[in-house]
Amino acid sequence: MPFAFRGIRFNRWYKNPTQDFPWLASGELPGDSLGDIAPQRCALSVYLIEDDKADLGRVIAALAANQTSPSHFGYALIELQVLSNMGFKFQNHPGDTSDTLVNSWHRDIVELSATRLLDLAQAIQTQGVRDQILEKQVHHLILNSLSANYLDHQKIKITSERLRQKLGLPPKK
Amino acid sequence: MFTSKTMTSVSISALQMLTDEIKEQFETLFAAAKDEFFHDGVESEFSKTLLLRVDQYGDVAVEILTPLIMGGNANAAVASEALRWMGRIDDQSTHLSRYRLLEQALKSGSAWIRDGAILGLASMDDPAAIAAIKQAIDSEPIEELRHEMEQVLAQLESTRLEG
Repeated sequence: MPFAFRGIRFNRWYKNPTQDFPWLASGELPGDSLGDIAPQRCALSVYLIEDDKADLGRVIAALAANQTSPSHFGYALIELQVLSNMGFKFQNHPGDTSDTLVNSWHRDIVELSATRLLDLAQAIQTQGVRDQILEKQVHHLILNSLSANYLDHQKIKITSERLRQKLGLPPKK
Repeated sequence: MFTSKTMTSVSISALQMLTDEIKEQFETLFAAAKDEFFHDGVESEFSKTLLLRVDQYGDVAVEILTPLIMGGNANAAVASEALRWMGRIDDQSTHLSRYRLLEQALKSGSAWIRDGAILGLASMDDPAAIAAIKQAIDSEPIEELRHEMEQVLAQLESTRLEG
């Protein structure tokens, strides 16, 4: 069963960040974590990842190439079945990265009320997997995708000149 | 007529004025950034101005930032973001002062600040941090943060082997 993939900032999802939020009850999430899953017009962008996670690196490379200055990349994975069982609805809608195949794996979680958003955050915290890829590895992943011709150079949004040079990309116009 | 003593006194006073001015600029910058929501891999108004100031004032800027970040009064999300970017600056002239700030911040009482410090050290990719990271792992109470530190340790050990 595939997973739904969402980029997050890893530290906002620490399970017991008691030093920063001593008032937070055990198992509760800091409110800041909701910012990582802020919907637009009640829809939240996710990507499907097959259960062997073989394409995880490719998705991260595509999303990182969509950033101006890609660095460490935090993410959450949650089984699609878990979300379906909770009644979340998905809509097929192409993504907007420089990797066409990755774009076809994009879905919107739709009809998200504030209450449902909280349900989603709790599901990510209790039933999801969260991790982070370090900057050096993220840059390797982008290089791999460039070598494999997965990325359309024209659509890459990286503006950092130093990084563009390292990746063998021409200066951004 | 100026003597060398009065010249020194004028220089010290000018330096103090400049230091106070930079400190005030950073305090204003940190206060304004409380309302920003930071995303991985995306520059913000905060990060752009921060990098500009460090580029302008070099080590002096980093020295002024250190108590601001470590003093306990800064917003932890903002301080953490600052540390991430401190590791990403490509400038050998401030490498040591930025490295010292990041190493010191590994001992912060705030988990978010320790997170910013370890990620800054990961970006810097300087194996000199290995011993400090090993110490930090031993005393880290938050499981996820310990995992990040172990990832960074593995990266730096690999960098050291690559020579």
